[in-house]
Parts: sequence; C-alpha cells; structure tokens
Amino acid sequence: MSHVHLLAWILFAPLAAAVFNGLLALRSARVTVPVEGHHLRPIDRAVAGIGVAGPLVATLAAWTLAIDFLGRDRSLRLTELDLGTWFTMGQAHVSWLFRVDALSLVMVLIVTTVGTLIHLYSVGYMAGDQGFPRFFTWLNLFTFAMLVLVTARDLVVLFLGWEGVGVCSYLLIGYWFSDAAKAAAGLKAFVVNRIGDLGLLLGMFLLYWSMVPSGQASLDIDLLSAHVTKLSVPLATLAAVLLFIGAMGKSAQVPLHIWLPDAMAGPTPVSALIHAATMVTAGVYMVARMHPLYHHAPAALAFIGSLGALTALVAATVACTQTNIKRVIAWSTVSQLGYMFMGLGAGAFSVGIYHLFTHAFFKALFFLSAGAVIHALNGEEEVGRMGGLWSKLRITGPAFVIAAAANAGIPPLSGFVSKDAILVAAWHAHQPWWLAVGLLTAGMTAFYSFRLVALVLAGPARDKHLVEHAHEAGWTMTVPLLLLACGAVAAGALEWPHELGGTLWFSAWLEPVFYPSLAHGVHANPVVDLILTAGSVAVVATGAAVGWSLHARPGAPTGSPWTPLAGVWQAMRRGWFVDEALERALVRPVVFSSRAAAPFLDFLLGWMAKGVVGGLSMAGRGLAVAQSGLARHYAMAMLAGLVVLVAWAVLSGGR
Amino acid sequence: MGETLTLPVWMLILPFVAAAVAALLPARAARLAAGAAMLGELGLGAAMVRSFRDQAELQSVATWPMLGLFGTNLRLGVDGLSLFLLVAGAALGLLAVVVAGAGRPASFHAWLLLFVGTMAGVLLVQDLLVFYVFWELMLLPALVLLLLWGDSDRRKATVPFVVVTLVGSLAMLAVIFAMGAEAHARTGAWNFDLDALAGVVTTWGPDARCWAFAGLILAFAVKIPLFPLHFWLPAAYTSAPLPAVILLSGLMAKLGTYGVLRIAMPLFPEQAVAWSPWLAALAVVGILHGAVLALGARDVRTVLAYSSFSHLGWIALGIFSLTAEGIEGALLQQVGHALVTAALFILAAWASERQGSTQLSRFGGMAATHPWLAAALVFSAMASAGLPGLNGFVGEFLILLGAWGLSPWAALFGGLGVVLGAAYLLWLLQRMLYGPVVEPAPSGRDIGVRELAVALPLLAMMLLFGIRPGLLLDRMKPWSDAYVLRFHPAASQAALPTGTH
Repeated sequence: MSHVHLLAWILFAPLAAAVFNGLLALRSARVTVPVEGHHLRPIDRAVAGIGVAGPLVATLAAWTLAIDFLGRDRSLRLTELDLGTWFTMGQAHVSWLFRVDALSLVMVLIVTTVGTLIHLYSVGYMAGDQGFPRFFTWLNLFTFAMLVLVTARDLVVLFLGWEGVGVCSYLLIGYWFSDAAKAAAGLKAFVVNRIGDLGLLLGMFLLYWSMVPSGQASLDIDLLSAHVTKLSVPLATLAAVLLFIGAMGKSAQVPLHIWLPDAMAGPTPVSALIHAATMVTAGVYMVARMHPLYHHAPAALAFIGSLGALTALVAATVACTQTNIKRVIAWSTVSQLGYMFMGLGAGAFSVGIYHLFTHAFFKALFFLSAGAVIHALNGEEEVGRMGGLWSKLRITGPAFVIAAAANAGIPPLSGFVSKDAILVAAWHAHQPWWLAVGLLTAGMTAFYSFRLVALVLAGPARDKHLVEHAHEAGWTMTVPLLLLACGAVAAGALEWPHELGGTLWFSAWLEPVFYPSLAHGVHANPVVDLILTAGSVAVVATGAAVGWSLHARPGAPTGSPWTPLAGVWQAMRRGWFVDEALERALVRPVVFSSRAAAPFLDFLLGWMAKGVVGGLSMAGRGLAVAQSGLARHYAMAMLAGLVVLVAWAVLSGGR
Repeated sequence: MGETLTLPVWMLILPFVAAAVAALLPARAARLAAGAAMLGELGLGAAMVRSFRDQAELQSVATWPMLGLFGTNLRLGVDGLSLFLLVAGAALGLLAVVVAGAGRPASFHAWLLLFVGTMAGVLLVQDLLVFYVFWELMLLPALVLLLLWGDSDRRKATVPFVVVTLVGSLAMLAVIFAMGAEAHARTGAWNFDLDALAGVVTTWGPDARCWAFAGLILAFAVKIPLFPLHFWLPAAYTSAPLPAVILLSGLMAKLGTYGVLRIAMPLFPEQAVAWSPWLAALAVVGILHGAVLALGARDVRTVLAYSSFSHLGWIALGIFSLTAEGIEGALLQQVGHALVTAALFILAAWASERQGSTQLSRFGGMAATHPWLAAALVFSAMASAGLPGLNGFVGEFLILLGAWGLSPWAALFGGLGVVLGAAYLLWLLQRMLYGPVVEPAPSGRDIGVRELAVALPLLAMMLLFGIRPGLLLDRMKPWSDAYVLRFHPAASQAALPTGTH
C-alpha cells in the first residue's frame, strides 16, 4: 500500500469508528436497558469492537509506514495527503493537507499505539456504564482530532485538530454529566483553553500579516518556516510568544494549568489518553513543529524554558501533598510537561520530544494502573482509604511501581533517560538555574512517586473492608498494563546516553526535521554529562527513599509528614492558591459586570432613549397617550406616509 | 434595456402574492399555501444559485423602465453580497412557517410571508427610494407579529424598537432625498439609482458627505444593532413569537450590515475609511458587551438574544476592518449566523416547551431525559462558539484576521469574544442539560421524527459549510475582492497582488 493510502487509513479509520459509534450512541441513548454489574450489553459489544478496531487499524498503518520509512533515505521519509482547499482568505488559501514526516510520525505512533491500548482498557473499565457507546464515540473522535493535529501542514488545520481535541476533552471530562461539578470541570477546561487559543490565533494573524507584503501570505507551516527567518527578531519573538500562549493552555503551563487537575473528573482512561499521553502534549508538539520560528527568537525560547522550569517545580510541590490518587498523577503531568518545555527552551527540540515520547508510556501506565486500583476499590480515589493492595493486585501492583519508578527517573527506566537528557541540555544551554530547578524537581518527583506507591500498595490496609473485596481486573485492562509497562521500561534504550555507552537513535531519527546542530548528542565534555547524571541519580534516590520510608510504615500520615511544614503544606495542597487568585482577578469581575455593570449600562441607555421619546412626545401630545399608542400610531403614520409618498411620486411624473 | 422578468423578480413577487392568497384561506390551508410558497421561493433561490456566475457584477438584472418612483428606471438584481442572504431568507421563511405550528390563524402566515417578501425587496432593489419603501414596509409585519402574537411583555418591547427605528429611518430618508434632489439639480430629473447616486454625491463638500454617511450609518446601526443602539433588542427577541424571532434575528439583523455594505460605504468611501476604526471599536464593544450580558442572563431566550447581538458585532467588525479577509468573513458569517441562530432559537423553544419555563433556574439534567435534543443543542452551541469544522469558525477566523489588518488591538479585544462566547454558551448548556434532573422533571418525549426533519437539515448544513465553506465563499469572493479595492485604491496594489495563488 502506498504511503498516502496508509496516511488515509491512519486518519480516517478512527473517524469512521467515531461515526459508527455515534450512530449507535444516538440509537441507544433513549433506550434505558438496565445494565447488570460489569457486563457488556449486545450493543456495547458492537461498540467495543468498532471502537477498538478503528484505532487498531490506524496503529497497524502507522507502524507499516514507520517500518517503511526506516528502510528509506532520511530525505525520503515524508508523505502527504492532499484533500483540496478548505477555504480562501484574501489571496491565500488553507488546504486540507496532511503530512507525515519524522516528527509527525513519532506523534502518530504515540497517539495510535498508546491510544489503542487505552481504548482496549476502556472496554473493561467502562463496562456496565449506561453511556458506553457515547464514551467510545468521543474517544474515537478524539483520536481522529489528535491525528489531524499532528499531521496538519497548515496552522489553521492544526487549529481544527487543536479545538477538536479540546471539545472531546470537554465532553469526556463532563462524561458523567449528571454530576454538575464534573460537567463544570469540563466547562472550565474548555474556557481556560480558549484563553490560550486566543493567543494562538493572534500569533497566526501576526504571521499572516507579516507575509502579506511579500505577496505570499499563507499559514502553511513549510512556507512559514521559510518566511520566519526573514522576520525582525522582536516581531518573531512576539509571534513565538503568542503561539506559546496557546501551548500554555493546552499543555497546562502556569498560570493556565488550573484546568488540568479538575479534568480528573473524567473517567480514568480519559485522564490517561487525553490528559497525560496525548492532548496535553500538543503544545509541546506545536512549539517543536514551529522550531524555525523559535530558533529565530531566543528570548521566546528563554521564556518558554523558564516558564517550564517554574511549572515543573510548582506542580511537583503540589503533587507532593495531594491525597487523591488521580490528582497526584495529574499534578505530576503538569510538572513533566514543564520539563518538556525546559528541554525545548534549551533549544534541544528532539530532547523535549523524547521526554514527550517516554512520558506517554509511563504516564499512561501510571494512570491506567491507578485506574485499575480505583476499579478494584469500586471507585475509591482517596489514598487515605488504600494501602495493603500489593498482595491483592499481582499485575496492577508491579505495573504501578514501574510507572512510579519511571516517573521518578530511576535508572534504567525510560523516565530516567529522558529527564537526564533534559537536565544535560539545560546545562549545555548555559541555564544553571533551570538545571538547579530541574534537579530539585527531580528529587520531589521521586518523593511523591514513592509516597504514592507506599500509600497505595504498602503496609496494612487502611480500610480493611474496602481492600478485602479488591480484585484484579480482567484481561482487557491487564494486557494494556503489561504492554505499556514494557514500553515504559524499554523506551529508554532509544536514547541511551553516550557517556553510558548508548546511541542516540531517537535524536538521529528526528535530525532531518530539526537542525542537526540542535540535536542533542555532540557534547564536548562527557565527564560533565557523567557528573550531571550521577548527581541527578543521587537526588532521585534520596527523594525516593524519603518518600517511601515516611509513608510505608503502618499509620503513616497522608498529610504533612513534618509538623513544622503544616502551613506550607496547606498552601501546596491548595495549589498555591492560583485558582483562587485567578477567580478573584478574572472570573469575579466578569461575573460582576455580567450581573450588574453591563445590565446597569443598558438600563442607562434605555433610560436615555426614553428621554428622547419623552422629548419627541412632549412636542406632540401627552407622554402617556403617546407611549401607549405609539406603536400603532407609528404603523399608521408610516403607511399613510408611504401612500402619500408613492402618490406624489407617481403624480409628479418624474418631474 | 435588459429583461423585465428574471429570477429575482419572481422571488420578489411570490411572497406578496402568496400572502394575499393565504390571507383569504382558512388557517390550515393558509399554512399549507405559505409552506408551498416558501418552498417555491427556496426553489427559485436554488435556481438562482445554479445560474450564478462567480463574478463581482450584479446578475439576473431586471430593468423596469419608468416603474421606479418619480418615473425612474428600477433595477433589480443579485450579486455575491445578496445571493445567499436571499436564499437564507427563503429558507428561514420556510422554517418559520413550519415551526409556527397548526394553531396559528391565516393572517399570521400572511404576515410572515409579507415579512419575507419585504426583506427580499430590500435585498433586490438597486433604487434607493424603493429600497427605503421596502425598508419601512419591512417594519410593519415585524411589528404586527410582535404586537398581535407576542407574549405578555410585548408592549414594553415595542416602544423602544419603534422609536429608534423611527429616528434612524427619518435620518436615512432625509439623506436619500437630499441625494435625489442633488441629482435633480444636476440633471433635471429625479434619480435614486444607486450607481447613479455614487457619481452624484462626489461633488458634495466633506461636511455634507460626513452628515450623509452618519445618517445612513445611524439607520443601519439600529437594525444591526451596533452598540449603543441595541437596547431595543432583548425585549423584542424574547417577546416575539418564535417564527418572527427566526426572521428577526436570522435575517432582519443582517439587513443592517447589508445596508452598510450596499449603500453607506460605497456612496461615501472616504468617510468609511476615516470612520472605520471608530465603528470597528463600537463593534468590538458590542461583541464584548453582548457576550457579558449573555453570560449573566437568566432566561434562555435572553441569552440567545444577547448572543445574537454579540455575533452581529463580529459581522460589523469584519466589515469595518475594510480588509478583503474581514469582509469575506462578514459575508460568510451573515449567512452562517442566520443558520445557527435559527437553530438555537428553535431548539431552545422546544426545550422550554418541555420544561414548561424559559427561566434557566428551572432547567437541569435534560441531557439525561432528552438526549437527542441535548445532542442537537450541544452541536449548535459548538457551531455558535466557532468550533472549527462547523460553520461558525471560518467566518469568525476571517473576521478576526481582517481585524488584525485594521489594528492588532481590534483582533485582541474582538478575540476576547471567542473566550466569552465559549463561556456563555457552555454555561447555558451546563444549566439546561447537565446536573441532576430537576423537579418537576421536564415532560414530554424527546424530539421525534417531525422535529428531526426540521433540525437535521440545519445541523447538516452547519457541518457542510464548516468543511466546505467554499460552497458559499467562492460565490461571494469575487464581489468582496472587487469591493474592498474601493477603499484601498493605492494600498491595494501592495496588499492584494493579483494572481498569486
């Protein structure tokens, strides 16, 4: 099969599945056949088959394409699918043009492979839910939108995928919509993302108008890439920052991160797929995709890296204090996204993408194994009622530990390799502060990862009754766990550091996309790298040991482990009050104007209009009479006026 | 001299004839006749789209010698600006008749047809005095529908509506007569033909042109409505019967922006260029003010009314950007918004019927009890919020892109409407559809086959025009490309090089 056909299958197999399941969902929405236990109704079986088959076909096509690419020359690793024009703007036009190159293929492989596993997992996890067909519709549609996002060659088409994943995220966060709080979490996610989207839009506008004088205005990424090097640096910096504001929303960077922890209201497979492995990394991808622009705007890169470092640190502190199992992992995701931006900010685009790649495996695994724990405990998410699950969950338990260890950066797991690469890149970019923050955050990451492992799995059960009935999930859930665990362990081999005797295959793969000079790899001094690696391993080991030992003993507290810290602990627990601050600074003024200021303004306008009416009427007859009959009188007067006008015109005969 | 009976002429005559017939029939037959007439009107519209050539010029021109007032030649025709507004008028007319239901008397249908007919007249005639006649006549069915069949607040709604319209219309009439008189003074004959007047007014001094432009803008701004002339809108939109609201919000509002594009700006291009930043600023204020009011509104119809106000601000912003991109977006959005606003008002009316209230505090959990209705509402709200892939996006994108061409600040503040728009639409959905099912629970069945027959074509078109906006835009583009050159005679060479595809 030709490359173009493979690309078509990758894109449209999930879309076809979404359409089929959508029809089934509509059909079944009004039929309330009671579901007994965790069983699949006949319609659910059909939905599950279609729902998994769609992404599976895309996965097979993607791997076929990848294998074929590997056998080709670097310059030939490219394929495009052209589906004509979407719309025209001025003299330019936007095309339905989809393209897979080395970078897009990495994203496609993540989205399809991890996505298929999560779809399979969902069959077990969502079994017995009344809205099963609806769930798979949104999940399939999400996969399609995400694939559009990572293969689009035009920024506007990318934006279609970008908003498409956003709306699927909204619908899936609020999937259990009968709970108003869950639906509201979806609303919050969408609106906060829209703030970022505005930045992205403005960035596009700036780039478009900067091209207009050349007569070649376009938002095609390839044309833009050639054009941006001719921009003045301040203009390029502004465009880069505006686009990055979009990335801040989607990829949850401070202060637009506030939606992501609340997004945990969605079912756990959604958290794994959308809010860990794929959608939230769209911002990282977009910045990497626009790398010529960012390369041309060093100040913007410095801003991105600094904000990434800040986000990594802040989110890690919050993750240390959470007691809801999903929220720990959510804040961890925010923190890891910060690392990715730190890598990009250092100019090491392939390293940032590599962390995105490993993170997709270990964070999806983290969420799915947490989901298996929640599933085993009948929906319990508070770690305060867990503990003692190691002996009960023989597959989920080890999977959870592997995920936590990879997240913490324990060698030789994949998380260690990619995080180490970022720290090294920060050092080589002459950003000692990023390195310091990165090291500190690495220690905290290890701390909260093993705190979570200890609280969930170790020791005696805190809630004996709950844990007693815990049971391992069925094969649809455990098989994805096993496969993702393999990925989380082995993905590190693709970029095993030079100084430890490895080869940087991943960077080499991306080299044709990013400038060879930017690919991390050619370091002058392996000794420095080795020292950095040793230092980070030491910090991680310390963090992990402290996190484990404080929480593994019986009766370990889920709150602050040290009394003097209690105050700060509370602040961290509440996310440093960013949510509250934004609520006061932004939401309340808008609500106030919507309820009071704007209606009052309209009242004033209406009052003034009445004054005008009064003035007009006084000239004529009494106010009351005129007002009550004004409309009718006006209608009459108007008709009469028209009659006179027409009569005059006709009689005057044109003179 | 040209033809006298072209498709546009039939489109103009049909609604009036049908109205006269419907008025004489019993109610049931009148409804059938009205529906058949609107179907015929839609068929004529489709035929017109088929025969339309993608060019800037006025097409299917019919010239009626001596039939214009004062014996001038009356021209009718259609171009990229009016083509789809006419078709939308026919479609909305059909929709209005269908959703009017069987309970309405014959006169109701007759007035609906008159409303459609007068609006078709506004869109078709190229003679300013006849334009004015239709413009004023259009108000009559609107008022009658509001006063005779509106709900209890209708009187409160009528007064401000009439007053601002009156003031605006008087200003327009004065300007039109002044121009006609100028033509009379120069040539010895009254002439109100648009093309002829464009040459006439160039001899006026700057002050006179300024006042004339202001008068015209005032008349059109009332209809759009442009901030701060919007205060009549919420009461009118919420107390008028549903079929009238569909026509008011779906088409009559766009006749305001149509008038700006067709009459005010081409007659006074220098004033348009000079004033456009200020008018664009008013449009932006309207976008934000409307969105904020929609956020705070407690009645589902009020939310949609303010939403309509806010969306018309987008269209005005695109026009006043005076860029090719912005005007293309405005043309597209004129048609796109007609579709979305009609769908939202209809769906909201069905939901309110089942809930027994339009107060949002009485709603809750409808997604569980009426999943299909909920799905249709979510879909339409997403189209309204400008989700790419549905029909609101391309228009809004082009408008904001054009606004950046005028001033990045216009794009920034106008763009805040993107955020607020998502906020008020999702907040509306949240209160209507989500959360626990309220007591008393919404009654009645979910939407069935009959309602789907109304809703599905609308939803399908939202998707179709979202993915293939070229179906509309390609017809409009030659017109708007030629149009925008009038305002940038010098800059156009640099900004709009031809043939760079």
